[in-house]
Amino acid sequence: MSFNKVKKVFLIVSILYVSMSSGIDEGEEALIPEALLSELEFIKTSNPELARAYLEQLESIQEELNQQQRELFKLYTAHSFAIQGKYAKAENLLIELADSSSDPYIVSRSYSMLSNVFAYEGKFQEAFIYSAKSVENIETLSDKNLHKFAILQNSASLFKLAGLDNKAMEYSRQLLRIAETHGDPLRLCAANYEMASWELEHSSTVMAQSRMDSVLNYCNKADDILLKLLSAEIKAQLLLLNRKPNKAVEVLLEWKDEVDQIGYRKLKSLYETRLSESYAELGKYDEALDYGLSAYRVAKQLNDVGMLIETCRILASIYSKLDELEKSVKFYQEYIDYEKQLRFITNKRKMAYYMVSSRK
Amino acid sequence: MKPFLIKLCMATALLFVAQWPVAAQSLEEKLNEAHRLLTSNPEQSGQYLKELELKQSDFDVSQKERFLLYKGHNLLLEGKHDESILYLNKLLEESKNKGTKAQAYSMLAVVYTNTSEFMNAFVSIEKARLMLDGLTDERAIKTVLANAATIYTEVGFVDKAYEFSNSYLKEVSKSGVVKELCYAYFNSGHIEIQLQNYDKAKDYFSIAIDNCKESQQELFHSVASQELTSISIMQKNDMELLKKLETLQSKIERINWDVAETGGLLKIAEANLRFKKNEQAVKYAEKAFRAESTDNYLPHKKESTRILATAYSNLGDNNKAIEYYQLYIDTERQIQLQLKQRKMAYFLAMQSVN
Repeated sequence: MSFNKVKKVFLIVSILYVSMSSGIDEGEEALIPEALLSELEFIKTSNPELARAYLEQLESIQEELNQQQRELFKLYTAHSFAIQGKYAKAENLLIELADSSSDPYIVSRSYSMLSNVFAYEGKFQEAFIYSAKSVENIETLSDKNLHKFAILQNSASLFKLAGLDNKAMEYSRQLLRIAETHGDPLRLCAANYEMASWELEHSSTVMAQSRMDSVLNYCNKADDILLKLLSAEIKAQLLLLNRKPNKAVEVLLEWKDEVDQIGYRKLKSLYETRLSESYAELGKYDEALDYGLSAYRVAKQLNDVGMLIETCRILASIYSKLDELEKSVKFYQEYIDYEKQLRFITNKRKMAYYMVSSRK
Repeated sequence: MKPFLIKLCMATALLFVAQWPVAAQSLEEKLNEAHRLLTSNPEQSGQYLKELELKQSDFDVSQKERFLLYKGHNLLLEGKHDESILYLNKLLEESKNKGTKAQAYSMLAVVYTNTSEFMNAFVSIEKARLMLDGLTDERAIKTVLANAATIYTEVGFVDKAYEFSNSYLKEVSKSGVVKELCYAYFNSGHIEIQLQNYDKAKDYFSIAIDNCKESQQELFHSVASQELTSISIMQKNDMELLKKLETLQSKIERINWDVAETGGLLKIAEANLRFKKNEQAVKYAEKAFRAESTDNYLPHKKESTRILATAYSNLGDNNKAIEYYQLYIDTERQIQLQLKQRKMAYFLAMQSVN
């Protein structure tokens, strides 16, 4: 299975919750169950190690937990299993939780999480089945509830991953609507970021440009480092599209150290790809090559087909400008092979959706 | 004529050809004759329709509706899109028959697809689809499904095309009209190829070939045979089959359908590439690349540049290879951009209809 966009999903999911954390360190005084569970909601993806420590604490006091807390504990435990790649354990726990809970939010959220676990495993038919279950009663859930936002976001991620852009956009718009109702900068930042990504993908530079102001405004208010890095990257994309590579380099270099520190390889690869592209536009091929090759290596390690396509294209073009034709041809051929691979994967996912929806 | 239009004409042709005997001169007979000749001889059909237009006051309701539908279709085939839209809209305003309206909407969608007004095309085809609910008029159902499958295939929405193509296949299987089976299986095979489900595509093309032969659809028969041979070459690496591809190509060239002809050249080029006959691959791919229809049909442009780039790199001509690789990437970008713009149009269309 290709995880070309899965990492992005993890990133996006995490950005929603990181800054809402109160910033309590492992060394600090033990939290009460209620606080631990609240923290877990926000750090479970961005800081899996700390999440595991919290879960261990909760496990030791399981008997003290009330019904609602026990269910949340199970939900986050399943999430932790999924992050560790223990998919079967996560699935069992989530199915058990969905079957036993009488809380509609927990039931829908369990299905939603289950759907994403199946997607990570490449089982898209199952992913679509549980995604449909998760949104079955979405209209009855309150917009104010965090679970609803997470469910819609998981749906948007799943459909985006499957290349079903129209469905994904529908969910992204719902997210934006909820975020606007809330007025919470974090959600507004995340939802506007999603919309700006869509607009850029569709080359609606004018729309993306006007959206960018909202993204930067809300992401600054949200005061979350990951969000800032992502929004800077999207700003650089926009500058590149507007043929301002110099400005793009400036923006990217301003945040590059933070990117290296934060340790997300996907984000590092994304920044380096964009830097490589910008330097190539400026005719600075040595810098372009350094960043491009580094991004390519990371993409290979992550088996990120989408990113491999992009880096191969950039590297092939740089080598041809440097008159290293054999290397250029090698990267062009790789580009074609990866592109075919991605088309195949995406079509299979779309078909999985069709198979599931035609069964209704 | 744009290649896309030709392809659509082929699709709709199957649904409208020869259901009445060659006719005498009553209103009804003239209408039938205009219908019969609609796609096989659009010019003559157009003459009948001109005559009929002068006698509109004598039409009953059903005749009036059929006249407007055929006129809209005829004008579409002539490439007179604006006029076609006028007639089809008039039909939509005046008709109370759900089946007729569904057909009119689906034809309107074809016109808009031809003029690249995708938002209108998606709105129209969705309206036609919604009208299928509870409809029993078989011809209307089949027309809408066939047009929807063709439109979604052409705009590159494989999953939507798959959905409609499957429904169309089920529908024509009920009546068992060989001509319709020929097209339905051909179309489904074509979609399976895009999904890289080659075994399934083989099954569909085999059935299509039988039905196309029986219904004397020479073009679809030859193209389906070529598709089947191409898959066999890919799976068996049998060089003997290359000759068969070339023989089938001669047949297609005689029929003179430009898009199918270029598609055939690309299959031969790809087979040569597979057998490391790089010079031959270049020869056929260049011919396909330079074909007039290729300029308007990006998938062929993409395929020909891919083969040329690979063949030239195999021949050690890296300069030429890079030239075509870059063209390939530019074409792919254009395709993706088109696709994304169409997806956005589809999204907005669905929002406005539902």
